[in-house]
Amino acid sequence: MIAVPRPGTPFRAYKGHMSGNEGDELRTFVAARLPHLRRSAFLMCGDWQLAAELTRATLARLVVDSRRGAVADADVYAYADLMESCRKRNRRREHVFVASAGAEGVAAESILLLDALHKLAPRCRAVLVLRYWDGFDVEATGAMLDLDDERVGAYERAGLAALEKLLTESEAAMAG
Amino acid sequence: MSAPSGPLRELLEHVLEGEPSVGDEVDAVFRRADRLRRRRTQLLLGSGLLAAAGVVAAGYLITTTLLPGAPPTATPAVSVPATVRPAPAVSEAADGVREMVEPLIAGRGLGIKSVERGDGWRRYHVVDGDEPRGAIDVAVYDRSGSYCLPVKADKKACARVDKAGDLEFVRYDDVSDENWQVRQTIARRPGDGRTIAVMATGKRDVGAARGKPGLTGAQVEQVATDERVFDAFGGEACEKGCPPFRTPVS
Repeated sequence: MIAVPRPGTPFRAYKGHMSGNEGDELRTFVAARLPHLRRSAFLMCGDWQLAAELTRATLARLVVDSRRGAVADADVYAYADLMESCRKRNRRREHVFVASAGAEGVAAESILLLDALHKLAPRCRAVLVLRYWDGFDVEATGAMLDLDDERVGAYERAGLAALEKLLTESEAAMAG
Repeated sequence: MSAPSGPLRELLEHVLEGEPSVGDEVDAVFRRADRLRRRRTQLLLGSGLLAAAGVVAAGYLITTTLLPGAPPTATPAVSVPATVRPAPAVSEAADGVREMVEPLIAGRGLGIKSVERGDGWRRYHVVDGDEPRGAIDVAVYDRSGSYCLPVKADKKACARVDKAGDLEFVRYDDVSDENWQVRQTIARRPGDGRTIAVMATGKRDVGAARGKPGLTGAQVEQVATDERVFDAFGGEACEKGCPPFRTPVS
């Protein structure tokens, strides 16, 4: 079991020139959010290397835009940017689960879950990851994916139903 | 696994087993941010330069299109030989040669009444008030290689040249004929063979006083040996239909 700290206190947006303290604060934020974002990216794309690359790119953009005072809510910015990057990337390639280089072996259940997750529509998958993994409420999830609350609810219900169906089918296939 | 909505998070945590370590990812983020910032700055500067170039180009086009063109050509005071072909295609606004010549004429209380021009040559008709005062011809030629400046009396001889910077020049003033007074200089840039002839002639057959050229010999020399006049012609070169000079650039 991996200990995962939840996204915590909101990150203050920077305006104008940054002082040294603000630079430290930004570094602290990046260090704290990087593992969360990378895991979310992995759940979205199924490849640790790609997840790390997308997370780096997202956080680099966040750092640059924060320094010029163009970020109102760092969490919304970061997750919205990351989900958009994953969505764009998923348009161009099939989902293939890629274990990390040092992994000793991944449980069959985990592979089934990832596979089922990746068979969902990108928006459904993003809603489930943000709501059930990252723990954001409906409003924040809607802000990150540019959806209203109703659409978030609809995607969530559809995603859960599809995921349950896929997992049931997979389990049945394995049992058979 | 049949009811994922409740324990979905726990299931997802299992999926993340085997997660690679973060390592120096944070430093990598900041290095990447620096590169991104530099790229954005370069892009911004590039866009700014492009926009500025666009504005300049648009300004130039608008100026050359909307400004009034050359005044209508009047009947020349000095008869133009049939070989001279007016070529009105280039607008007056683009005549850098005139910008060199006109102040000298204006400094003597004279003016340019009309202009004729062609590829590699210009003719400015000079007036003193309403009275014609002859013309000023300027032409540029490509004379590279072993070309030497001519001697009027001997077509095969080479003139002894004076130097003005990188230019060689010879003055061919001749005011002995009061009915056709001429001040002329031919200057050549040995480096690329570009050769310029400048000739100021007075109105013919009106006597010594009224027939004086619009520029002095020194002013003609000044125009001919001004590098800016070479530049003003750009890539033009007079080949056919050039104005006849008292001492031709053979």
